[in-house]
Amino acid sequence: MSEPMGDAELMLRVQEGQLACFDELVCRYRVPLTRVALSKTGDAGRAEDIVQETFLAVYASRQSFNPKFAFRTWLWTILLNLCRRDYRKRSRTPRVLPHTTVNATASETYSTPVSLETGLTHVLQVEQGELVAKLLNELPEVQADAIRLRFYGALTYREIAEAMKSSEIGAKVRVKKGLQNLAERLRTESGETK
Amino acid sequence: MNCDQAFDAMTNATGSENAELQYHLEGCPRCREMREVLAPALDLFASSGSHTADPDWSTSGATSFSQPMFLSKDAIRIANEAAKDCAMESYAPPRHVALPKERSPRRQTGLRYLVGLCLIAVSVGLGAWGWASSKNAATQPTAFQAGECLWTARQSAEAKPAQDAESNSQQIVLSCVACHLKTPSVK
Repeated sequence: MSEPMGDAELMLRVQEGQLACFDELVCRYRVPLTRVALSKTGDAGRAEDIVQETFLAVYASRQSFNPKFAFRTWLWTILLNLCRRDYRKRSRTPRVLPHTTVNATASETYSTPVSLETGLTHVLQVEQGELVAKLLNELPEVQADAIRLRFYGALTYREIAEAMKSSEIGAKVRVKKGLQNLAERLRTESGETK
Repeated sequence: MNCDQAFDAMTNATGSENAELQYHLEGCPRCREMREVLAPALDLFASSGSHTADPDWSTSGATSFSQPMFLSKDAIRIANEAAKDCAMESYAPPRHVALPKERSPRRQTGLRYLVGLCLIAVSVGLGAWGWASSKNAATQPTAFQAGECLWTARQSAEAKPAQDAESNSQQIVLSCVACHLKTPSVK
């Protein structure tokens, strides 16, 4: 069984004009990129737009890719910068709290029949997702971004450091402090509800 | 697994339940304490399915990039700048290392002599230290294995003679302070 091609090799082929290789890169990274963008913007439509624009920007500037640096780092850096640009653009409008559905009512979301158990699990996951997104938005941006890249993007600490222009230890400290803040908020909230 | 690797495993997007981590946590009270402090946040990420669940809209068939695509010049600029930054990062020395200034050939020769003298002095010193330490080899404390949990290492060190224990304890304290310097205490 042959090993899957590496990102750098795929990009080199894209540079040579093999468009199918770009599809492979899109398939690899679309979901994690969207998770992070969704968590940052709180709006699925905008998240999708940002991810699309990220891939288009990568394709348009494909000749500037150099295999001496990691494709992943480049991709995540672009996504984070586009998210920041989007936030600046929309900072005048009130920020909508994250919703993990796209302008869809419950009936639209469940377009196919689902069992009660699956539906309940789904609802609970959506609620938890909304809570996570709300709490992340209350953290300092660098801590929240580091956590998003770690948990939604599944990046290593070295990759987080490269994408966020920090040291590896700095990336770990950001994640740790962010998680500590989140944990404290959760403890406080659960204490208040009791 | 050491404490640093334990933190990596604890904050792994694919889940923090692995046997090696559990074994480490059993023997390392500092990491266990850290796990307890972070537990509510880590459990929240685990229960929200951060790693496994696709964004909801993907299940409604909206992910096929069927909408009209747009690309601003700004996005291309961002991509090009990011590529430049990444390339510079891959070539640049670490940030804490200052780039060498250009020096005159005469000064460079002087510096070379100075560096040579320093190297000789260091090697003589190391040789003397090696000779002295070889005499005391039998009484030297056991060095810790790289990647070994310091807490676990202490437990094994405690089984050794008392003369080893003092120097081992000092090493453990220093290493733990370095590793856990930023770990806050649980309220």
